[in-house]
Amino acid sequence: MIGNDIIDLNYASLKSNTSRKGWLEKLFIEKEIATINNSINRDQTIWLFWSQKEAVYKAHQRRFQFEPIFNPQAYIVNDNTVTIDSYKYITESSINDDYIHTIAYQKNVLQKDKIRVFLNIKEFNFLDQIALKHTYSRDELSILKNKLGIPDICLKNKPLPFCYSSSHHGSYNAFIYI
Amino acid sequence: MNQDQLLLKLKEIITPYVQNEEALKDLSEDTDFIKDLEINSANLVDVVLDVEDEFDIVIENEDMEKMLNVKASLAVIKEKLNA
Repeated sequence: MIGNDIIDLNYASLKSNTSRKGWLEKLFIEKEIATINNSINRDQTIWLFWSQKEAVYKAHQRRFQFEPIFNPQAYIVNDNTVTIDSYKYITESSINDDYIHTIAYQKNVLQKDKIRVFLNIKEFNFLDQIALKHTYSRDELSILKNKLGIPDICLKNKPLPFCYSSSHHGSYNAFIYI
Repeated sequence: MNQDQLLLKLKEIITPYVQNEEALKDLSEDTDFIKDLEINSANLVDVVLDVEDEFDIVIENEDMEKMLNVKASLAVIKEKLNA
């Protein structure tokens, strides 16, 4: 399973006051907070950890098809891994001044280099690419969410056997699939 | 505070974080914070903190987990107010 998350850093700084009392404590565990407070770029570390948790949540929810739940502290970040219960995922993040993009995948299951990543294109154009690459009729392709809110790439409204994840935040979009 | 008053208070709290203003007009118990109102997941924590401040209650992790829609949030608030 795969998941991904993109954070528009400018938008995040406008929309969230990370210094608000209790804010960090609701999202992160003590060890993560210590790392955040010791880091040179506090906010960048906050949003990196948050994107890791979100990307893994998406992979995990797709894998086990559970109802949405807001339990960020259950997703424990340790460098480039995130653990939820007894499950471990690997994350890879690209960071620049504008955004952080993280992809998550299961340890030992997926070849990371098989994951196709599309950054900052519109959903419409992403589907153009899928149609072209896999020779589907573009008109029959769409993105549909199941009742849990998990999206799939669909042909004639039926999910295709791709593992897919999308993320939108501020001015940025990301789509990945395998 | 009755159910309608609670709903009104909750509406005030979530309004600054809502990205789909249209859905806010039809706010009901069935409204979902992310799916319907398009509240960013990082702002869910602000909703929780604002609820704590407004009602002077403490929301534990196991309650916060459920606060993804109006119905569950009202239930958590009511339970805490009656505790």
